[in-house]
Amino acid sequence: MKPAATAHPHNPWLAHAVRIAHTETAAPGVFTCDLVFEDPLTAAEYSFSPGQFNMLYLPGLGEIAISISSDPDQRDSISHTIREAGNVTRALAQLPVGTSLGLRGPFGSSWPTEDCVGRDVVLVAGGIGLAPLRPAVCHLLANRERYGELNLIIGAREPFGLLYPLEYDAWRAHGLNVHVTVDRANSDWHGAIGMVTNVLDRLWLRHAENTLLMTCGPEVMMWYSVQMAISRGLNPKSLYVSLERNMNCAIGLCGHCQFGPQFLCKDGPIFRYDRVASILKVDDL
Amino acid sequence: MNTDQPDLLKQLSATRFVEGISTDHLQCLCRASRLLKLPAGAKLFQEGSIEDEVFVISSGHIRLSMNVPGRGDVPFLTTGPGELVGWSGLIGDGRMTATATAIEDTILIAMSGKRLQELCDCEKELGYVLLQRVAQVLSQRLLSTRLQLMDLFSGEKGYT
Ligand SMILES: Cc1cc2nc3c(=O)[nH]c(=O)nc-3n(C[C@H](O)[C@H](O)[C@H](O)COP(=O)(O)OP(=O)(O)OC[C@H]3O[C@@H](n4cnc5c(N)ncnc54)[C@H](O)[C@@H]3O)c2cc1C
Ligand code: FES
Repeated sequence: MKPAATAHPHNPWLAHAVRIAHTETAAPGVFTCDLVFEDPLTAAEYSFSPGQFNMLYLPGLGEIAISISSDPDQRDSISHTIREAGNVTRALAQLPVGTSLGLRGPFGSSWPTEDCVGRDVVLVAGGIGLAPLRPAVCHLLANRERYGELNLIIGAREPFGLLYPLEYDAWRAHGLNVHVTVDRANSDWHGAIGMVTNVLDRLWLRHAENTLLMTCGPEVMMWYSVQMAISRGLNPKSLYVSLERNMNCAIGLCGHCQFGPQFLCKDGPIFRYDRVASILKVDDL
Repeated sequence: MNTDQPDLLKQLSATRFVEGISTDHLQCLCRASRLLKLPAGAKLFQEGSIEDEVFVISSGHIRLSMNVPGRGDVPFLTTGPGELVGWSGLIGDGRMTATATAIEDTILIAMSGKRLQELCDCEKELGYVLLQRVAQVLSQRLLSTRLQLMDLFSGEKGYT
C-alpha cells in the first residue's frame, strides 16, 4: 500500500479549476461525472493511484470527498461516480456539461496493488463501493500477467443498481472472474441472489494463505466479508478495507477525521484490516 | 445403494459440507445417497411438497424462491457448491419451504433424510458432526438473511 500522497506539492489547499466534460446516470440516484482540467499543464502533471480521492468544491455550496473511479492510465479526464446524498452531491448532479468547479487532490492511501504481485486477489465491492475499486480493476488487468487468480465479487441492492454493468464482459475477457449478486430481484434476473459473503463463502480459492482481499462498501458488509475471508483461511494481514467518514481538510490538519493516532483522510481511506479492526465498529466518527 | 458409488464418494468427499468427516462415515453417507444431475431450468423440489431427500450441491447453482400471491415466484437466494438445500427433509417434517430450481446444469448429492436420521441414531458421532454442519449452514443462512433485511445498499450513509 502506497503512503498517502499530497495533492499539490506546495499548497494542498489550492483547488485546480476543472470543467464537467460528461455526466451520465450510473444507477438510480447515482451518476458518473467526467472532469477535465482547465490548465493543460496541471492535466499533464496530475496522476493518482487506485483508491485515492479528490475534494470537489462547488462555490457557495461546499466541498466533498469523492473517490476517483477512472482508469489511472487514462489521461484525458478523471471520473467520479457519485451518489446523490445531500446538498452538494445533488447540486453536482444538476450541473450542465461545461460548468467549472474546484478540485483538490489526489489525497489518501491507495489499494495495495504492489503487494498483489504473484498472488491471488479477491475484490469485494458493495453498491457504490465498486467506484473506488474500479481503478484497481483497471490497473490489475493492465498488468494481468503479474497476478494469479483474480476474482471480483459485486453486490448491489437490485440488478438495476449495479455499477458499470457494460464493462463486466470486457473484464472477464481480460482474465477477471466477475461474480455478481443482488439482494433482491424478480424471476427475470438470471444472476445470483444473496449477500457478497455467500459468494465469498463458496468461492474456489487456490491458495487462501496467498490470497489478498480488498473490500469497499457499507461497513457492515466489509466487516462480514473480512470475517468470512478469515474463516476461509486468508491472513488478516492480507485484508484491506476502505473507511470513508466525514472529512474536512483532507490533509490531516483539522482533526475532523481523527481516530486515535490515525487520520482517516491522510492515513486512509484504505487500511490494512488488522490495523483498523477497532475503528470499523465505531459509529459516527 | 446406487450404481455410481465410486463417483458418488468422490463427489461427496470433494464438498466442504463433509470436510473432516472420516472415510468410514463418508462410506455410510454414500450408502444413503445418490448422485443427481439436473439440467438448467429443472426443478429440484416445489414449495409445499413433502420430500424425503436433502441435497448437497456438488457443482452448479440452485435458486430458491417462494410464491407470493400477486407477485408470482419471488427468488430470494442462490446456493452453490458445497451448500445444503432442502434441509427440512432432515430436521423438519419434510415439507419444503421454498421451490428449488437449477439455474445451470447442476450435480447434487441427494441423501435420504430417513436413512440419514437412522444413521445418526446408531452412529452418534456421525450424527453429532452432521447436525453441527447443518447448524452451521442454518446460522450462515440466518446471517445472510439478516444482512439482506438490513438493506445495506439502500443509501443511507456514505458508500451505500
Ligand atoms: C474518502 C472518501 C471518499 C468518498 N468517495 C465517494 C464516492 O466516490 N462517491 C460518493 O458518492 N460518495 C463518496 N464519499 C461520500 C461523500 O463524500 C458524501 O456522500 C458527500 O460528502 C455528501 O455531501 P452532500 O453535501 O451531498 O451531503 P450532506 O448533506 O453533507 O450529507 C448527506 C448525508 O450523507 C452523510 N455523509 C456526508 N458525508 C459523508 C461521508 N464522508 N461519509 C459518510 N456519510 C456521509 C451525512 O451524514 C448525511 O446523512 C466519500 C467520502 C470519503 C470520506
Ligand atoms: S479531514 Fe481534516 S484531519 Fe482528516
